[in-house]
Amino acid sequence: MTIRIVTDSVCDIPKATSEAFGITVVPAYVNIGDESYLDGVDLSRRQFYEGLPHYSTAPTTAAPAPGAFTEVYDRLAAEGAGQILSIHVSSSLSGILNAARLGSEATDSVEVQLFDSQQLTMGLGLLAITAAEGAIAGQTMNEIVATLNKRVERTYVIGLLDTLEYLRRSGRVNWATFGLGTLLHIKPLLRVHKSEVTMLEKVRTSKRALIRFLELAGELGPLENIALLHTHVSQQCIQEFQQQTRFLVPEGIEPLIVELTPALGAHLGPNGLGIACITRNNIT
Amino acid sequence: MVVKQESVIHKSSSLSTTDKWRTCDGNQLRKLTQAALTELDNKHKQVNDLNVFPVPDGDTGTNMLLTMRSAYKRIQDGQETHVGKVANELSQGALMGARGNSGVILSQIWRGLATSLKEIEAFNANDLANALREASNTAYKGVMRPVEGTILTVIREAAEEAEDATIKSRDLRFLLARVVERCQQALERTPDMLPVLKQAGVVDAGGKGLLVILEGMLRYVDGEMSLQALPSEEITISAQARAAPAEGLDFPYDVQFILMGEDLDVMAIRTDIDAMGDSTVVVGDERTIKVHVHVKDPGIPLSYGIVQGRIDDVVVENMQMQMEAIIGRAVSATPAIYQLDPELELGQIGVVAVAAGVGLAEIFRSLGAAGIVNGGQSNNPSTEEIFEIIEQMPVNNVIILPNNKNIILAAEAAGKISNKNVVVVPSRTAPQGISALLALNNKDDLEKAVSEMNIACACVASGEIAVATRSVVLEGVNVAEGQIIGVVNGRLHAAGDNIELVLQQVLDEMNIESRELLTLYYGHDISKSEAEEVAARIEDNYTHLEVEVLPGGQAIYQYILGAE
Repeated sequence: MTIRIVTDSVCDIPKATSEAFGITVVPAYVNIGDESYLDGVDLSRRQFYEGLPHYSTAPTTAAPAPGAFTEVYDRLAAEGAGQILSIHVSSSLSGILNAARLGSEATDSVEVQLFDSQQLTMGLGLLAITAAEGAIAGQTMNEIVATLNKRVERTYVIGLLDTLEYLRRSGRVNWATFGLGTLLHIKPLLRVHKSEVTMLEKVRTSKRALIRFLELAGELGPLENIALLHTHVSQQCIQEFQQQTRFLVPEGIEPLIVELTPALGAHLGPNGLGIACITRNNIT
Repeated sequence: MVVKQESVIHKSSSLSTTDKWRTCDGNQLRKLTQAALTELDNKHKQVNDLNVFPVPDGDTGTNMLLTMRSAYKRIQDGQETHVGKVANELSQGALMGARGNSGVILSQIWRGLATSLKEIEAFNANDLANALREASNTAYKGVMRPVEGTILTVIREAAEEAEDATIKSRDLRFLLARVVERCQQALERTPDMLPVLKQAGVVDAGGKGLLVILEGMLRYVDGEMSLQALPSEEITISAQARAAPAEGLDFPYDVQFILMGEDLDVMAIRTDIDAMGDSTVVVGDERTIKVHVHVKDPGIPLSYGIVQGRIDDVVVENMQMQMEAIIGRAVSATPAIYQLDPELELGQIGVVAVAAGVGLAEIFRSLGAAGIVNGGQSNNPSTEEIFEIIEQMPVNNVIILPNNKNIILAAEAAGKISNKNVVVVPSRTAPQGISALLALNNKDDLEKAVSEMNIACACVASGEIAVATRSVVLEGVNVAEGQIIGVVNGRLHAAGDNIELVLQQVLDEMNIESRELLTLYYGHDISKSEAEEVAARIEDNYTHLEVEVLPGGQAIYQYILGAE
């Protein structure tokens, strides 16, 4: 029985990679003013980030319509999928999983297993790839889900934002709305683990922020997989970041370097850096 | 509302209000949907305005509008008269076009209506009541964790009201009117059900969107809306007025005066006044000019006026306070105890900071200090004042940041009186206190937090610039009254007649060459533009350095500097 993997554009998996793994990506919406764009289809990352500091109203994001998921499930069923694993951005941060659920309830063409990754960006991406590897290797749905459940425990995203302003404006994270960073410029160090967004540190200078970021990443111990993340930084900055994070990269892994989807960038702002990773051991 | 003639004609031909309106077929539902869409199109920005932070999601009005557009698109050119079939098309369209949480819930409302009306050719009041009940049930099932005080409450009450109305009359217009009225009431009660709404002083946006949709239908039935000619947007100030004060007004003072003089240059004066704030009106001639502007500091346009000529009929109004009076809630007053971080629990750490000015108080507050004691260089707070704030803190673990060497002892004494676990982190300056506060993790244990904060204190260099009020020789520095003095890390370091030279000596002593960020907190006697000039000169001299300028509002010290 063929198992196909469906995810959403918040996964940030580059197109070539998703195609190689046979992962179907359903785009979310990015609203700028009264215009609504399909993430990655109608709106390129470059267009978005270059405009981001200048939009008169803050861009917002919206889940794909349930019908978009129904269409994808029906299409994959028609292509011969026996079962579908639909893995999505953390349900506590987005309504996408719920839209997928409603979409799956609207069709009988195929059995859809929903999975809350409790992650975002390549945290979700690495888990979706894990699922696809399982499917390719012929694992059963139960085996794939069991593997995912274990990996979720060991999946982390750590990010260094240039400003709290966008996060505060977006209102997605309670503590960020609490006036913090409205007066002094603060560069927050954030961690996402099992749906929980934590501010690890508040730092005021870029140099200090990067040092602490690398220290905190190092404290995760040996990694199984890693991807490098950024929101619209220069090519030179990416290269430097690659050097600085080299010590984190496990042998035999060539980390994907990903510019975050506008659906996340709208909440994080430009000039952010980060990693998504799966650790080798559980961290207590 | 002006009733347009064509709408009256329309009324008599389609949905008569003189006769009872007993059934609704597919064509009529098409018109009702168009009316709903038109109304939402006109008012979606009002709905967006209700998204005051903390917002659970993006632009609710826009998302609902896009969902409705997608629904209507499926039927707009159709001729279908079977209402069940039209409803089904609407439901499909809404489901495909659903955006955001409210859009998804709206699509589920349509889905419930469609399911219930499926086999019906033209619905009557009973059918509609049943369909609304099904819509409400479907909407509740559409979310994983239903929350009251949202669009769900509004649709549920709509269903209840519809059932009640059918007992009294079989007239659909009567039912719709009753439902709209009930939805309005339900909407007004949403802030009582959801604390975030109450805090922001708004009603639920999704619920409002649903009300707008139903109102559009009712207005069409009542002949108040022509579907050909759209009514102009109704502008309600209240939503915006309520949206703004979350952070306070940028330019809270409304200043008006008459400027009299000779050879006044109206154009130049308009340009100068406009640079001070917004909402500028400058009109008149070379002898008399009427000036109106909204500014941060009313002293600035008034001083400017005196330089240009004579001023008269001066009116200064505090719009912030007027607005607060309207909405009945203080915006940026500075009470001693601020609302705590919602995640701050009893076992966690609360911080009390001593602040020497309004600006510094706001900064400490913005960084999470829950208690603020007003006091500084010349007005050291008493032990009792600090103690009272400690006692009012809703936590047992309290850290005090005195931010002045003269206040450290009082803070320690206050800590000893209290039964709470109180530790003083002996910050001697505001920049030290700010760095310490940034290093705090509320969830750490007290000992670890204090140690991190002490380290942070040591990492920042502080400088202060003031005018000497008496002559003295101190720390080897010879100071004459009226001179500018420079203090570095609490020690008198330089004195002179030229502020730039003193500032330079202070920066050198702060080791500015090896610093990355300089924060300049200007005192209440210094204007923002003066401070920005000083900052610009420093940035010119040190290209690697980032300089941030903030109003400290402190007395005595013209500038407080922190270098990291």
